[in-house]
Amino acid sequence: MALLAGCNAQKVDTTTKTTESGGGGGTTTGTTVGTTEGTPTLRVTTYPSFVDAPSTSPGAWVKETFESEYDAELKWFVPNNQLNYFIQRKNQGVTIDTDLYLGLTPENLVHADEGVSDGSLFDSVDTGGFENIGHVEDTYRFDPQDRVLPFGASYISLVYNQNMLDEQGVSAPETFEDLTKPEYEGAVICPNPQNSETGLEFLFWTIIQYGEDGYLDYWKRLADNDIRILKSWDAAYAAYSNGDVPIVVSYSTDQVFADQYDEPMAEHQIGFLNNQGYAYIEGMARFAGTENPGLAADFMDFMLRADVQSEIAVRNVADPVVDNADLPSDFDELTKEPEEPVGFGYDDLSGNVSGWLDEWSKQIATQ
Amino acid sequence: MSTSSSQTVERAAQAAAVFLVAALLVVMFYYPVATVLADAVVHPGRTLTAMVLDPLGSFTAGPLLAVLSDPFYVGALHTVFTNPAAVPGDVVSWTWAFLTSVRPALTARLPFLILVHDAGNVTFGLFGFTAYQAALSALLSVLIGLPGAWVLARFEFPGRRTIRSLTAVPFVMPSIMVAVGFVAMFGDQGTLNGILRTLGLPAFSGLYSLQIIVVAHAFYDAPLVARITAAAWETVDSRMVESARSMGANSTRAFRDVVLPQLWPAILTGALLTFVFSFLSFAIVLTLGGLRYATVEVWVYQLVRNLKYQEGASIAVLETALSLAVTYAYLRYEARQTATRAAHPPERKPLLERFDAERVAIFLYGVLVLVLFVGPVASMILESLTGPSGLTLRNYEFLVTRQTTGESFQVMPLTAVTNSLLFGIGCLVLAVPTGLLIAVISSRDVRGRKVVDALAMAPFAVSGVVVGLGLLRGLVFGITLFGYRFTVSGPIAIVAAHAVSAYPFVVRNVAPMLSSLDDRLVEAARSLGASRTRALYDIELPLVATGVLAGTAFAFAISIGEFDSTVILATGGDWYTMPVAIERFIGRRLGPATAMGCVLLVVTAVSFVVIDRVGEGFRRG
Repeated sequence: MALLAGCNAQKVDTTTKTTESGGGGGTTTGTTVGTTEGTPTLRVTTYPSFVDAPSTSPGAWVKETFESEYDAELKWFVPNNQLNYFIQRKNQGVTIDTDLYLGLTPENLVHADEGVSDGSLFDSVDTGGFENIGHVEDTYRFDPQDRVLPFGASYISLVYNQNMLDEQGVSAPETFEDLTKPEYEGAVICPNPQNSETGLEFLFWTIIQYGEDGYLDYWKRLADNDIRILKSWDAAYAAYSNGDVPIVVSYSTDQVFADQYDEPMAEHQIGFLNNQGYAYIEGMARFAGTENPGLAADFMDFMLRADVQSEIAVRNVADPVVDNADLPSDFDELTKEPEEPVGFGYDDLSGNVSGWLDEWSKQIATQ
Repeated sequence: MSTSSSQTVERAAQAAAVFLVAALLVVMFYYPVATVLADAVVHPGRTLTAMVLDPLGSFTAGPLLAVLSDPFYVGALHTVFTNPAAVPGDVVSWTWAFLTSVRPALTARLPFLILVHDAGNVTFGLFGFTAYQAALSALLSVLIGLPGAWVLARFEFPGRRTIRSLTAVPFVMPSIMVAVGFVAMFGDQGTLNGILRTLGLPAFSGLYSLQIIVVAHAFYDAPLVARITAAAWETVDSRMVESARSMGANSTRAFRDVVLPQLWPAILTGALLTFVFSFLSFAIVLTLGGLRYATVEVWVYQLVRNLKYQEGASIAVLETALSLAVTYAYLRYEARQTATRAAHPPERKPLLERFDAERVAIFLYGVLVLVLFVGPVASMILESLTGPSGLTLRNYEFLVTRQTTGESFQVMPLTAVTNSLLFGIGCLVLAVPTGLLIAVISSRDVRGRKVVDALAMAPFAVSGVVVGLGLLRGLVFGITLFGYRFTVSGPIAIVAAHAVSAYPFVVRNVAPMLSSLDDRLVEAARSLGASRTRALYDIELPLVATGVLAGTAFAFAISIGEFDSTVILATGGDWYTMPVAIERFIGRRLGPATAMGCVLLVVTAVSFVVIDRVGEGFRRG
């Protein structure tokens, strides 16, 4: 009996789409995407910190502002397995029930395109009527089929503790080669690329430097120099902030948070290796087959508006992707930019990511 | 007439209970897990009907053989599958290499470190290394847990019952919180090194090593060993010890011949649980050791994440087979034990009464406990209260602010607390009777029961990644039957999933005690007209009450600490628990998550004390 209460059965109809239990768990019956209801619902999926970060997150502001301007209700949906949740739904023939995905990187898109066995998870949107589309900087666009539009960017960089390095009488590393030198032995922590987007993009960055034929050799030297590869960004950052190591692979926006938490800036210096930074680009895309294609497109239009871009940039602590967004001067000062942004595009990554990761992780695990 | 009809009712009730438990296991465990593991042996795209109609064409050993022939996974063992003829010669050369490389290590290193020294030139592969670190973890957990069991079972001192209740606390701590505590305690700038430096002693540098992984596993599991063994120790029949002593045996002899045989099943249960947990360890290995010390589970995770289900399922099948084989071997051993027990525990000795060699040893053990267990937990609490300019409450202010002004779609601390407690209680209501039922069945002399017993232990021998994926595919996405799509998610599914992973603890705490009960007691009661159920309640359960209580505490701990299944079954609802909230509160700074970690610590510590007090009251009452 008890089990039955958690079950939910719905008629599978092949002609019109039905939805399953939406929010609220098993005891509630399904929420249907209504056409008869007055206010349409836009279901947007995103990563946890976009709606739920302890420091600051844009979720609440985006929802409130969008709802006040459009006749719609915005519902955030944050599944734990993120993109894989939808790839699996699609491959199992289960309806997607979500309109829009917020927070796609180029490698995410490659993963989705390679993982979905039939068709595409996303479709492209006619951006002709978008208010600010002309101001989106081309460098941030990464989808050759233009399904994904960028909405924010930051850089992968080193974050280092100047005080600790001073104590050891060592200067900050400036090149990739520096990291393999004896003075940085055991000094660097990197989040594991298997689990962390930060770590994965750092791995890509080393492939840009040393090429497909050379990156494994470089990582062998890094490993010989005792680079630590810890589970996730938070495990890596925890060890770093405890003064266990002076250098961590993280984001160029670190000082914004240091400022919020009144931490000494000397302990949060940003290092761009070889004067570069790996561009971490976040995009958004509409799910193919959504019942609210128009509303989803309206939301993308909204997200790219200059005023919305400035607001999200500050609240999400990332750079805007349009050239006409105003930023507060202190924010501009605290978010560092590299001389030379680098990054792989869709075509560089396509067909390569899982092979690179596989070779790399086997080498590290057997070292 | 009335006797036979009441027997019929009893039998029907038993049959119904067995059916319900079986249904629960099939829906919440076997079916979901099968949907994932099938990828290892079934050609992609084959339906159930195809498997029945064309078994030869549907099943394949290819993926499993591919893993077994890959030196990365199985090390030197791959030759058995790729070139069997080379095996004898290789074994000789490896043995020689091993012996010559271990000897220098033996003379150069302290005993514990010898074990940590990698064994010569033989490569063990991912599986070998995983089993190796798990064996070390089990060994260390037993070494640290046993003295604790002795102190808890044989001595009386203020706070004894509270300390016993708190043994389940490490079990609920999310890996990131243990990492925060361990780094703050054992890191280069940690408390331990601070003390060592003040004392003029050499600093200790142990993070990111195999040692620290093994120690962290012992942090989780040594208290489990202590609690299980203490429960057995408390039911040792003191009359047997007394008669041995009266026949001239000294105390060492009496311990070896009388007490130890009654403790072995409990000690080995603890070792077994620790081995399997450490064998399936994932987060703590990557968080404190790093990818260099990757276990099999790390690869299951990576492969599943990259949608390589066939290879992922294959290594998960082998991982499960290994865990179950060890479990089965242990159960065979347990079945051969013939120790009897009765409720005549020896008197506890007052701990603080005098000062002798025994007490000095206990004091030194206390220092170890302080460093290994209290240290990391206290460090974590301190971290939650520390900011860049000294002590601060701002992390806790965040929790209050979130609770009072948070948005409806955000995670609220208080909701997480109440959800966790509700699921914990629900889990006990389901897991304790289930565990008892299986323990009773497994203590009967039925043919093949050890196989059933080992299968009943499967929920804790299967990869968490696989269970999670199975629940997602099989229950959250649902199955289509007769034109309807059935889905299972939400609070009741969460409780059921928790109960499935928790009941093995009840079984393993109770079954060894139950099978060593003096059968004559039960027979006597039944000959006096007591029904089987009556005899169970009146005679057997009171005698194994300490085991039931220990099992209950750890079942609760499993529920509170569970993350993988919870987060999947809670998708889209407001059914997040404390560990889920901790994960969510990890922002660009760890302070808020650490504060939530301390809330988890306090809530669970209080719960454990309450469970034990209620349990003990129930036992006396």
